[in-house]
Amino acid sequence: MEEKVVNPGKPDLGAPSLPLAPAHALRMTGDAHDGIVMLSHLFALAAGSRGYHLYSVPEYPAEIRSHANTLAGVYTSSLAFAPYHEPIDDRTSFLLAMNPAGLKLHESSLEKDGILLANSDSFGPDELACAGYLENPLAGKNQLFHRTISVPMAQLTNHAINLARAGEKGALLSYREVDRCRNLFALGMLLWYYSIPIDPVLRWLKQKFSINPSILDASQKAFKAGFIYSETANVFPQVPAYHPVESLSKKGRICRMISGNDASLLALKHVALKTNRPVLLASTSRPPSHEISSLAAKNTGDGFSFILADDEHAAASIAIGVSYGGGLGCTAVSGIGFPHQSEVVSLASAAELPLLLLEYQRAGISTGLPQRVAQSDLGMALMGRNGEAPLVVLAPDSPSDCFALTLLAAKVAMRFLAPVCILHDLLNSRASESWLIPEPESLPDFEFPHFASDSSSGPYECDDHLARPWITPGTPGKEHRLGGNERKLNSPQVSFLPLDHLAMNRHRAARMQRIAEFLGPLPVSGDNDAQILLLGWGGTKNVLEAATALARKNGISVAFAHLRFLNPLPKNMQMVLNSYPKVIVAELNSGRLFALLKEKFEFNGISFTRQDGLNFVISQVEQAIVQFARGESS
Amino acid sequence: MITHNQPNDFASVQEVRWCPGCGDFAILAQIKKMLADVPLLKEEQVFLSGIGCASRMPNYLSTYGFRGLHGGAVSAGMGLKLAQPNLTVWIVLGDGEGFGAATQHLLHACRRNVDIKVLFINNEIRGLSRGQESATTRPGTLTATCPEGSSDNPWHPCALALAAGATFVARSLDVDVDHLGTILQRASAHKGFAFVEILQNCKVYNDLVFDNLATQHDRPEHLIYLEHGKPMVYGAQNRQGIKFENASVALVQPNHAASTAPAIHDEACESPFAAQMLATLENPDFPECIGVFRAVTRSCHHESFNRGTNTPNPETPKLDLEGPDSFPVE
Repeated sequence: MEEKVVNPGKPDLGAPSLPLAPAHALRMTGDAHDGIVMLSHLFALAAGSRGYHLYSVPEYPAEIRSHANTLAGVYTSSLAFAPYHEPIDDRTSFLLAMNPAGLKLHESSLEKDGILLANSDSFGPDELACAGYLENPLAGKNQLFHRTISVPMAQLTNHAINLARAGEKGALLSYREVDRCRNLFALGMLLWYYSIPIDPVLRWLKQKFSINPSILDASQKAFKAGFIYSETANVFPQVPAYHPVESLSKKGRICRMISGNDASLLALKHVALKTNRPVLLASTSRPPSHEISSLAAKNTGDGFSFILADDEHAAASIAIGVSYGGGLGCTAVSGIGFPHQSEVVSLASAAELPLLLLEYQRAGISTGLPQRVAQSDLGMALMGRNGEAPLVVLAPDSPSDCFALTLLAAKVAMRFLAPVCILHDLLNSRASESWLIPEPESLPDFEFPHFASDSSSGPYECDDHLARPWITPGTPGKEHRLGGNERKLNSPQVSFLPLDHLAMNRHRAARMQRIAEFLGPLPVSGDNDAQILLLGWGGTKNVLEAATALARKNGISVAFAHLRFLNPLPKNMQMVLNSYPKVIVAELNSGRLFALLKEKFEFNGISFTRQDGLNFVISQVEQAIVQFARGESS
Repeated sequence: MITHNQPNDFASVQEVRWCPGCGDFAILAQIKKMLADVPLLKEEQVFLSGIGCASRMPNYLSTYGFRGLHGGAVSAGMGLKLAQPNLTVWIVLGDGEGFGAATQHLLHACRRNVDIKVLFINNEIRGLSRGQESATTRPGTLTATCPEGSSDNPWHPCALALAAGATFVARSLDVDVDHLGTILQRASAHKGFAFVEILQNCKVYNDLVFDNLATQHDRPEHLIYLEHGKPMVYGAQNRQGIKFENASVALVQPNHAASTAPAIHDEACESPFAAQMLATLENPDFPECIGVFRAVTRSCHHESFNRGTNTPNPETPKLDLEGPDSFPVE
């Protein structure tokens, strides 16, 4: 039976619905062997189980193995107790520095009254020199921050583990094994400061190290020691603890931290299970799409598989071969790999085959800055093909939205037999946030009438969605040829006649309109009679939303809308743009969406952009809103 | 089940449009004959191609066909085979495309032993682009883009496929229809990557390039028909032969002396080295070889891939959304 799609846009899958709390940014930084990734992961797990909504962004060094304690080797993880994360260079409330290089790199971000918690054992002359400090910044006349808490974490960890074990039988741990537990000591201190229960971490450690009792014991001791030390040594005496807002609606429900990449993969696996068709992701090693590749390789099975292709053209071609065979061919691509796939997208459009492109935008042209944020490929996604080859372009608005939007993209690709591109950015793909795990029955199904192989229609006879039947090789009696040549409407017959070409161009354009109807309208939040509409797309949503709330608090009447569907644009786009006297289009590029809208629609607006490889800052966006409202910019 | 046992059962309704005298006509005829002869279902035969004269082949066959991108057919075939391992996937490439846009895909498919059959139709010229040189054009050939004669060294297709790890490598001739038919059947039966170079005459842009092999009369003087387990001899009454000597090939005139004994062809040899030497032999210094250079058995890509590409396991239909790190909100 044909399903009725009422609002396929965004089902309630546990996306953040908290009232915006004041953001509180915690940053953990240190060297490769400081265990920052694990520390951040466990902190999020513990805080999440308390019901806090967290947003987390990791930063890795570009070098694989840098020299110890150098600036080039710093790992950082930033967490925000709010569903958004401001750029790391702008504001940090709490900085944990496990070594001088981490501090050096992030000292400018710490608020004047922020807390610096440092592992003083790593601030010896050599480490300080590596980081470029002439004097110790933790104490004395060169102390950088008046709220500096300097703790010899390595020594205390060593004492906690080895003194407690004195006289015990069994193999002693090596110095290195003991030393590596110092991140858990730091974690214990952080949890004490934020009044977060330690049980989830203890459970995790027990599960993780169950096969190695010595390590488990040492880990637990170090972790508890950090927690207890904070209290007994009165480490944070004068500092009022930050108390984030708990979400009552989450009580009793199952939650997890989910990155955009995790969410995308879960969605693809769901499609494989629901459709009983193979779903294959083919990609290359080009960053940052290489991250989902590594993740996908570890999560194959139940109809989902992954292959590392040898170049982008091969990846997309493998994907289209899978789709031709009746599965969903997907490809992950980044940066200058995207143009390599342009002709495959064009072929998918001509042959009417589903193709799902997970495109990971990165900053810069050419090789550029693969580790920095930008919404750099909108132009390529919208226009980067020969001829009039339409590509459906969607963009998730948060890490967890990658789940809902990937499901939707797969649905469009398979329902309309069309290529679909999901424009990711690092704010979504790499970042993580708390996610209420949806009930299985709330997930969309994938039953379509044109899946049936016994269709009486020919291979190109369209249904009311302007989609052809998906007849795949292996079906007896339905043998046909298809490909990239132009053809007659509703027929596989190749045709180079002008009128046939015109009819096919119109057919493809009309199908995009059907897809626009399928996707639904653009929702707008905020004041109905607002003077200004703030419009964005992609992973900037939560910052823009917060800026809107701030502006409203400061007396500006402003509405907010965030596009998840960029091609085709929502049917109500014109109406939305014309409903407000002024429109600000905010994006992390030179104003691509703004230019597109200006070309298509009449409206009074300005383009607000950022192009330095970082996300927007709430206060700056709010300033732009205020200025535009007052007529100070045009 | 519909049975198809006549070559014409595999002809599409599309009018065949190659230049009169094109070697592709003979190749098409042998493909249809092979399809009628092999015990496989018509709906499970799929022909993929890209762009070029030879790439029109799928349009003229009534099997499933996909004519996609210049250079994209090999990888698309790989994807198709992963989605539906039961299909027999044929790829038709000309030398312009095969050793142009498709080269990288082709070489990786060789090493991965993707279970596809590549028909590499080699006329040493790019026909569809009006006579431009390809990577197999021999030096001195006058082409649209080398009016003074091509000066680049060409590739030997079979040698390259062997070097890349292809498990089945063979060569045949458009005009030697019986031999071509046999080789196509062998390719069809091979489990794994099959590479068949078909020397084909382009009447318009590179006519007579294989003139030395064109007639039945001349062929024995210039050709060795490779047969597994048989001595590699040629010429009238097989009076000449070849042997391997000091990591190269030497001509011999067999008599009863052991030193003149021709080498025995071993297509199942694990090392592709001897086959590579055979694949590079050229007239006039040496005889050229047609037949199966190499046929060895390896596990196929889709078999070793086997990581859930096929249909989901019905015993575990539930998606694990929680993962190892979920937590109840307390």
